Amino acid sequence: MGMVFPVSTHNYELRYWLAAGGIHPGYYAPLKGDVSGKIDADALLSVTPPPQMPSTMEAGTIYGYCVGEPWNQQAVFKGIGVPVITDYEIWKNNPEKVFGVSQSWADENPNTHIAVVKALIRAAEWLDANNNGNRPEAVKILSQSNYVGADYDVIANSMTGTFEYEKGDKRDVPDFNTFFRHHATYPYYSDAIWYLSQMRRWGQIAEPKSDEWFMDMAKKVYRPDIYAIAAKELISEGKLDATDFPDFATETGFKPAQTEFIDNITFDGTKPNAYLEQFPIGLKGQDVVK
Amino acid sequence: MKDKIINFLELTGFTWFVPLVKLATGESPTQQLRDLAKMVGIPLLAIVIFLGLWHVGAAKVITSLGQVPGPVQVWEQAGNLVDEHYIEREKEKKFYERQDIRNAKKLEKNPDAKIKVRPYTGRETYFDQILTSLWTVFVGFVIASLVAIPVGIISGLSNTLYSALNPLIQVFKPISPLAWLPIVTMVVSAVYVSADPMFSKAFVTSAITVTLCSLWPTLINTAVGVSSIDRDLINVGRVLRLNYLTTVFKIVIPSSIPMIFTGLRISLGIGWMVLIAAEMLAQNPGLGKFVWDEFQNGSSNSLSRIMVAVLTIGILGFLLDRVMLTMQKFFSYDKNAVIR
Repeated sequence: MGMVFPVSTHNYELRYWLAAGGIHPGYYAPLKGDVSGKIDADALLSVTPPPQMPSTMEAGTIYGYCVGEPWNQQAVFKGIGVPVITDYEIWKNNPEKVFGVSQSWADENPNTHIAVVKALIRAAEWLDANNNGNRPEAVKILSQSNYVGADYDVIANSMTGTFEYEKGDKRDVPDFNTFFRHHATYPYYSDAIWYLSQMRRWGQIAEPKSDEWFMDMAKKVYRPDIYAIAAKELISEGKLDATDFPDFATETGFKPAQTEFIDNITFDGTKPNAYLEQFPIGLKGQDVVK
Repeated sequence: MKDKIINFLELTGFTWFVPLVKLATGESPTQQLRDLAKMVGIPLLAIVIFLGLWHVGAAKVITSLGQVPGPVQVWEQAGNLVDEHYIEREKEKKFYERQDIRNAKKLEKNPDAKIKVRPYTGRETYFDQILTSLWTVFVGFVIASLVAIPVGIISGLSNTLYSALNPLIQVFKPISPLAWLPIVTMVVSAVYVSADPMFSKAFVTSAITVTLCSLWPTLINTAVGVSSIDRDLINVGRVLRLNYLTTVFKIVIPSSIPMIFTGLRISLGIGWMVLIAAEMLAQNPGLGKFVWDEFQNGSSNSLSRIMVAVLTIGILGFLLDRVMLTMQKFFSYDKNAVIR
């Protein structure tokens, strides 16, 4: 099957879904030089560029893929495939995209950094405003050839509150893309720790690590402090309201234990190693790939 | 006046306009009409038949991106590309206007304030991409010629040097640009490092790939042209005791110009083909990148837009060849030789 990149969200979601169904997606062994991710695999996963995924599947090189829109709706439109599940059903309200910058850029451009974060927050708020009322205009912008470039109808299918599972089977999924609702833009540490736990589960983090290590890593990379500065500036400029954001004074950065996973395993961001112990498939505790 | 125009038309290879000029001056109209029918009518008929076959054949092939575009869809998309160009230019103008207004307000409040004039960072339009491609191929071609012509002249004159270089030339000549590209990319990334480069890395990579693939025809043709000049001319040089450089500039180059230009024409043709492939992979913002991006977009009018680019590439290649042909005719000493 195809996925976007070994450290993409799609890789982890695809692996989670396969493992939840009892299929082993393969381990990585970077210390041994094996980064193909196919050790002990029942299903072989490989990297395919998203725009080429529909044609690669049509050609028969891959049997399926996990990718963001519009490449799934593109396959439906052309009648070459159907989406069997969305990550909304694998993990409700999961984190998908981040805005990341290098430390050196952030150090050299602190004011631009805040300004960009403010612009992103405003854009996210606009996208979700008025009950997804601005989405058609957003789709028009995205369908320009220098952005996503796919047809308007293909993009609209997933951006305007519906999702077409099969030609003719369009269902209402208003939260399929959430940009600002449910505090979607806030960098929760628990999001980072989930991805780190999955990296450990599949061997990209080759050696066992303590819970503190996970927390330290998350705190180094996810910066709610920068987010808070940007948000507070927006509130004082009157562009957004304090109720749009979590309470910065009391927010710990960890969401309460999340239960809405497809295999009903509960995720508590403060205890990543205990979380990994619950999985029948995957590295846990002191395991190392042989 | 009429003769001057006719000479110019024949020089540039646009000989099919000559009967029109002669018609305009009333010179034997029946003869001119017959010439016109032969020179213009028959090619036009062939083009019309081709368009008809294309239109009918295209409708029969359905790909996953929709029907293969026929002439009508391609024409529509060409119009769209021109419109998009004007829309983008409008946006750029408005951007600068807004910036000027902002800066004027800032200066009003505080005459010593530092104002910034930022350049517009919008997308390139189709015409910008055409210009980028032409500029890149020009740079690559000029570098190739500057290397190939001197080396060709010296190896034409000296048998030892020729036998030394020949195996290298024969081995490097057939290498495809796509095989050079990864190596060139890595070398350029490692060597061309600077905080504020004048040329982007993609540009340098594409230009160097064009150079590497297009210098061989010029090199070989120059060497052959130089080694086949009339022995008598070389002997004249020896009799007059001309030094090496004078021999080269006064005797060798003028007599081997036809071969050199043949090589240059072939090189430019190959360079243009190589450029499109190099741009696709090096992402230099020209026609190659346009085709690649349209393919990645996969929208329902992508194929038509790619067709527009394909035709543009063909027409530009033709025009480039015409330019070289004109230069060749201009520089050639034997005005009676037929150069096509």
